[in-house]
Amino acid sequence: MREQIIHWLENHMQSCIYRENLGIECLGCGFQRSLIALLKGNIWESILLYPGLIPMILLFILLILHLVFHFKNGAIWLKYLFFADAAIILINYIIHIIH
Amino acid sequence: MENQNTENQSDQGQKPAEGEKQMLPNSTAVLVLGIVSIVGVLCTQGILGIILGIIGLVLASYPMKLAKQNPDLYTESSIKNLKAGRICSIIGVSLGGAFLLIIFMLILLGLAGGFFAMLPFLDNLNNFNPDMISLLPF
Repeated sequence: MREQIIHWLENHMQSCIYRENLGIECLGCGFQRSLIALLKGNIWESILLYPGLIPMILLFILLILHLVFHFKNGAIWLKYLFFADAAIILINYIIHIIH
Repeated sequence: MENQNTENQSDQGQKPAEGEKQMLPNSTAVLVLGIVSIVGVLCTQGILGIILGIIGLVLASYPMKLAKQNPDLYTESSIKNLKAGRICSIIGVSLGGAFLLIIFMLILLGLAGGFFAMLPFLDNLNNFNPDMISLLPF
């Protein structure tokens, strides 16, 4: 089942219009490769390809848990995790553009 | 009997008991929209993220007024949800907007550069010399 999902994802990669036409990577470039690497079990490769992916998965898990169980400070934790994720994505993007 | 009922209702409206506080309208929706907006920014190059974030901001505007007018009426968790969701939507919109703005500036810069690269091949600005096209570098 997992191999089928990976195979399907690898054959249905969405290409980035900016990278194709302008040669500039967009904010989400590397997301799908990183997700496939994570599904294959290569956590370090996934972090190298796109460091914002794992915090984002944690963010969604926390969001679903918060919506189900109504944590007392869940919204504040979600907010800080969101800040951290956005900062990681921005810093990673700036580093990619400079190099 | 009717009078008593209306009095009870008005009492509830003014000073609700601890267990009878209401949820703010749209608070959960705003939180979900704000957090999903960042995925929209990443997966659709900014456009869907901006749309989701703006929907979140619009949905958040009315409950924010309600929460400012009488914060005692609503549960504390829903107010926190609303504020967190609003800030997340603002960040989503600004990320996507900044990215799209940079891209459009680059496209404009490229068009302007192309125009200025053409200038030496024009005899003057009104007459384009077709013989010079073969000399263009592209």
